[in-house]
Amino acid sequence: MNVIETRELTKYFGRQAALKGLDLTVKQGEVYGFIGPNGAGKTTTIRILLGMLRKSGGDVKLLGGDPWQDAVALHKRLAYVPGDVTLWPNLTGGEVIDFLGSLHGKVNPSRRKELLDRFQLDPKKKCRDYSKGNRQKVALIAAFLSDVELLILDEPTSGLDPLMELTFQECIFEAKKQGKTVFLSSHILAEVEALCDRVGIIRQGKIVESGTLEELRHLTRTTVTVELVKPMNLTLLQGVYDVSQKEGKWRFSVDANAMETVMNVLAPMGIKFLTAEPPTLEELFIRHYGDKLGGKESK
Amino acid sequence: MRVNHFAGTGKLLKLYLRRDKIILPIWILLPMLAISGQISFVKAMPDWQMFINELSASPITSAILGPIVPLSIEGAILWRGLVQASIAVMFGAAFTVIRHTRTEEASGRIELVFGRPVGRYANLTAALILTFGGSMLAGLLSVAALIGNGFAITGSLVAGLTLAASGFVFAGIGGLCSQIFEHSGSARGCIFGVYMLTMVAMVINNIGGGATYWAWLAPESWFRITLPFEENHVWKFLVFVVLSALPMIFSYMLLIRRDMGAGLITHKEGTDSASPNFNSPMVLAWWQQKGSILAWAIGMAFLGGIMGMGTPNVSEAISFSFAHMDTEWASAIVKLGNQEGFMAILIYMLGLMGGLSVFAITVVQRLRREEKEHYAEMVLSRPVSRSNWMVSYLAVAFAGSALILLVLGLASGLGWSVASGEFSHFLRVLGMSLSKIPPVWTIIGIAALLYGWIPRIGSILNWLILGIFIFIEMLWEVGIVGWSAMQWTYFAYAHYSIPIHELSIVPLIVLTVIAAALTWLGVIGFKRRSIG
Repeated sequence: MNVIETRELTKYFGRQAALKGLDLTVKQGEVYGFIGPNGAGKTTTIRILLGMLRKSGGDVKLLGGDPWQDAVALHKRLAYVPGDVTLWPNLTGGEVIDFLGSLHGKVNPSRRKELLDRFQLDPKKKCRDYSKGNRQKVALIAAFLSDVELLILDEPTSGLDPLMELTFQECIFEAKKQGKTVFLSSHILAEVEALCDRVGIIRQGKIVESGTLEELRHLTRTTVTVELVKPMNLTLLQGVYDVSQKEGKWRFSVDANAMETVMNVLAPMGIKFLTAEPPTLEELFIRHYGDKLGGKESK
Repeated sequence: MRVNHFAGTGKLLKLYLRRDKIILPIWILLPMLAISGQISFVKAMPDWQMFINELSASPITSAILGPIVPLSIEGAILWRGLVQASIAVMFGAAFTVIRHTRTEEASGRIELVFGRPVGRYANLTAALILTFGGSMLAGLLSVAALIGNGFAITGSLVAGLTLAASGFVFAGIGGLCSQIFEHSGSARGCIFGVYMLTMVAMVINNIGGGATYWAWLAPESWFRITLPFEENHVWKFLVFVVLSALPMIFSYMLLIRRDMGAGLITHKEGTDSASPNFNSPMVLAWWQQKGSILAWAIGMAFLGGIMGMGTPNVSEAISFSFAHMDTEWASAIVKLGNQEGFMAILIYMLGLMGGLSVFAITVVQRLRREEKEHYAEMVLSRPVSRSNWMVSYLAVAFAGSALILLVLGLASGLGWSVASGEFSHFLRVLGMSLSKIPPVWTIIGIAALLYGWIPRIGSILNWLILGIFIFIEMLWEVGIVGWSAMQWTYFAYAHYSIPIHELSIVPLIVLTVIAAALTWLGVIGFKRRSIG
């Protein structure tokens, strides 16, 4: 079953198009990474999924329902952390956590204490005295405290320190173990790489790439470092890019579909040393956005 | 699936009650205090009977505050008490609704709430229920104050319900403004505008004898429709309730049709780079305040113009008994003449006591907001001194208030001159308005001093000081305190009771110096304290 499904989803703000036909599928039980640069339409997508914005066109289904019509019923089954957390200045963090939890039903006190400990949050402070990271923690704790099927997280860790980032990742792994679905919009690619089963890359209001990390990697180049016995000029090979030579070792990136040919050429030259590194998400990302015109070379 | 748009309303209501522990009680209690104040006030007079007979004989008080109905001690209390009480209820109600709807939306906090199983209407509904309850409570407390002082139960109830109704309708208008404007500040500004319009309707109704249909447009005059302690038209209260439902229904209709965070008024794209002149804290301060300065100037031009044109309708006849009243106030009015006095009082109320005082205080409080929202840090982390930053905002406040007073003087003077065909009024009215500049600057100076040294409680103290001064003014008008008490307030030195050609310039110069000194002290305080 698909937890989130959009087809040709569009959203206009006046004449400005924020989403231009977004197709998105998130399956039950998976952790889905939603990545893209600033202004690509990530938050707009999430707000439509939450029924806060009304779509301009296309179809959108969330947990089998219509996010605008059935908002209340659907929200019982999900928890959300906004990207920019503002809290009521004259309430304490503990009060906010309890209040938000009460909207979902009962708050489990032992789970509450556990999360407060894990995120090291002092719940007695007034929200006006919290730093950005601590406000983020309040929202995260409130979200993890609700026993729901789906977590929608909009750049949830942008203010967290590395230790808290690890705690966050643990919580996501736990949620996944319990069969929950996680929709994670993020800028922190290492986090997406560590957590996500599948990834969708959004650019200018459209999904330009989606699939498992393996699938995405397959579409792009692998970085190869090789030391050969016999001399040869690698720059002439088809499907090979960014060739450099340092201390007798060649380093280049190679298209996935040219890999076999390249290896066949290299093998007779006597391979003394070889490493092949899959592209990091960051490289994928930069390849999609690095150029001005749009990832035309990616397919 | 049945859609429950109201899911979560109760829980949100609890949250709002929890958050409104200070502001809500203030505006709920203020009406009772105003009414009680008026009660002890009227009762403290040596001869209230004579006072009301004489006041109702004065065309000028009739024109501004309307005739006293009924001509009894109850009427004398409601005559002013209800107008004051309704100010608290109307603004309290509208601002409370805006605070829990548009402010929550603009801050993004509503996202945390709406991400939960909470219905689309829950937030607005909870805010309206809270405000309804608050207005009702404010009304009932006033009823209690009246009954407790031995006044008739039915009349007291009608008075209290009428007061509550003025809160209902402004709650609805507040809800509507929250749907229309993207920023809570604009929504609140709109409430000020609507209130000004109701004041115009009030004064037109009062000039017309107090029982015209204009009263329907002025919730502060609704007691002239229900007539407590006289005819006690309780059923008209029900009409008010229906009337106040209209803006609420509109609010719901707009709410369900719009995106979260959006208003009806969308913003155009701006320029891609700042103009070369946009290069100092002063320009920034002006840029941020110019909207409100412009709105105030337009409002004052409108009110002043209308009132000026209405001035010739004020009868110049002075009744025998009024001419022989022995308070300082009455003799001052007799000396001025009714039309001149009407104009002087209006300029005084708009240009100093009611209008510009509020402008001066809010414009200085902008500094506090800039600081709290961390905008100040961004400017002060650049090579900009603290005094430069603060003085820039204050300079805009000084210049802006002078500009608004100039506009007020021009518009009212022209209005009166054109309507009467007598252009000799023009310069006198302009003079009246410009003479308010030094006292208004003093208010800015006091606000600057409080901001510089005690920013957290400064804003409350500002309003408190203004309240005390207004109270002294009221005591003086009925002859409980003398002019010597008035002289402790900045009101006294450009007071309406002093004919403009007799106003002495020296105290005004002294006030200006005091304003400068207070500002200077405020800047010193700001330089010494921590920011944030």
